[in-house]
Amino acid sequence: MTTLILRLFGQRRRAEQLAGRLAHAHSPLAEALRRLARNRLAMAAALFLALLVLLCLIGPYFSPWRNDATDALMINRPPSASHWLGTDFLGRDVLTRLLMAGRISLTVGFASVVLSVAVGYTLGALAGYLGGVVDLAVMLLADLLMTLPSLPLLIIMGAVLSELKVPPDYRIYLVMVILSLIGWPTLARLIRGQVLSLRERDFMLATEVLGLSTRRRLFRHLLPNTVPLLIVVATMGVANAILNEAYLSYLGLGVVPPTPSWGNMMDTANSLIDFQRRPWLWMPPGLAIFATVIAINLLGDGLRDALDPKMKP
Amino acid sequence: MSDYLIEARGLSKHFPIRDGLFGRSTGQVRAVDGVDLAIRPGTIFGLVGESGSGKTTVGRTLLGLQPKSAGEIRFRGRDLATLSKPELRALRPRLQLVFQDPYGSLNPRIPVGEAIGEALLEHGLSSRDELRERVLEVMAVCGLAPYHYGRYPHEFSGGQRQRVGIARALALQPDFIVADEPVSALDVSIQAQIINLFAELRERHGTTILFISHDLAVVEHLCDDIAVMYLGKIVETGPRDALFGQPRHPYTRALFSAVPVADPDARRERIVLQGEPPSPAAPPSGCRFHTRCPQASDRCRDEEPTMRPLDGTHRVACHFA
Repeated sequence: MTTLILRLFGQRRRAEQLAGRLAHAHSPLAEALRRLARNRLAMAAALFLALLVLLCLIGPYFSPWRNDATDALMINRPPSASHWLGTDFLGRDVLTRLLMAGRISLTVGFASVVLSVAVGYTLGALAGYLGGVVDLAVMLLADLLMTLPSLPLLIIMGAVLSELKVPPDYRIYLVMVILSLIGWPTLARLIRGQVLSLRERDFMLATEVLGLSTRRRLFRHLLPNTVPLLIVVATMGVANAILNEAYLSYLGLGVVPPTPSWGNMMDTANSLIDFQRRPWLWMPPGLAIFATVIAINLLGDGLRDALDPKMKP
Repeated sequence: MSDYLIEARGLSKHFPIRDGLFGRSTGQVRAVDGVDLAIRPGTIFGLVGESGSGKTTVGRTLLGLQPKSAGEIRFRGRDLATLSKPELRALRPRLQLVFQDPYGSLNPRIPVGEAIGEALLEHGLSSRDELRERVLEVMAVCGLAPYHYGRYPHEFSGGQRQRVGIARALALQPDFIVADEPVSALDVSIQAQIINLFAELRERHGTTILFISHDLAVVEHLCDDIAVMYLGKIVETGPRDALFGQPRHPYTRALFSAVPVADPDARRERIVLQGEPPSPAAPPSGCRFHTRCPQASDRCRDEEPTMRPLDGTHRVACHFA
């Protein structure tokens, strides 16, 4: 965070110094952070995301409105001095709901990626390292999940949740699980490939010559070399998860009202009158999704370039 | 106890060629096919041969890094095949490898000090307190400065990395080091320093080294005994002076005739071999060299020559030598 602010005020030198001190001065990670600090676009994206998170976290506390407070006299009002982004069909303040929805959408996106990383990374690394039957089983399962088109799958699972009458509070956790189910196979495949290629490298043979324990070979030599790939894929994965959550919620199958999410706020665009006459209802969440996803992808690109210049397409 | 530190008899390593959907074995690459080696303690043994002759495979199989297909390896008279896994791991520090590629053999994410010292801790050869001391000592022997300790591999030049690789092997005070073309990736000026480092190891510490190389000048300078490999077999072996003085196998002669001499007036016969070395997946019948040998006869096509002693330990596998 401090790095970001220093960077913004043009103090590149100090930003880089700080990045260097965070990790070991010349470690590959520190050098990657320095390269990242020089990438203006990625730093702007990171700053935007940091501000967005901050806004979603503390913004609602400064709002005079509660996100679920209805007002029968203030229905569908356009933006004004008291309601900066207007009000919705129940007279709720759109800005406050947008920020609360941001909390939900970002949390769902982030948490589902943490879940899919936990599953995908473990299975991918095991498949790559152990090979044989484990590899075959994991990859068969991953391929199976990857062959299923994800959107119809999401829709079916969302419909099942609706049919089971899961209460809205629980639903967001189930949405996280569903999204991570879609996300892990890609990650597992990539990590497996990385482990397979690392295993054949000379420095892994060297660990055998030195007679190092399996634990040390795995956790000190093999896995740390997969971290750059993991960081990049996980970052991009957050953007994907946010988009998937938006699809689902827009269709009323993900996060359902009254819990707000960017996706279900977009739902208003389904009505012709709202779509044509009340753009303040659907444009803010639409823009929020758009800007967040773009920013995450730009940051991901920057991370990829910084962590492994060879991965650049 | 035998006179040799490490001995290989009939050592073979065949790699299956897998093909098709189910990975059926459709053939074998006979990378190493019946090699006998015996290395005296405290000497440097040179293994020479062109690319693909199986030099690297011999080195790695000797160290037990790849299971051998046939034959026997004895280290200090003990058959390595009879050792259990924990016994073999305990023996690991005694047998070390220096890699050809100084870039790929160091983990980019581990500072060199840790890379050199980690195996010492792992095998209980050093306490945590004296580890740094021990590592700095061995780094000094290899010509690395104390301030290199916390640096990462990417901050070093190729020659320095090779020193790190050697220091990593040396830290364990091994009895036997396989140096797999340790200088072929380096500049000539750096090569000399690394070669001298190996010579020093032999003088000071009595380390036994299998020095794999295709650079005959280096081998002549450094090695006590030499073996020449062609297509997975040793064709001639013996003391350096015998081999360089009187090469007997036609392949050895052709090989040695390619060594440049630092005398512009010297006129020597230059033997140029015709064709490419055959594939080790389908080696020629009889003598493996007959397809390119200037002296080949019918006998060479049918009958495989066995290793014959000439004088002392000088031995050759040729019907006519």
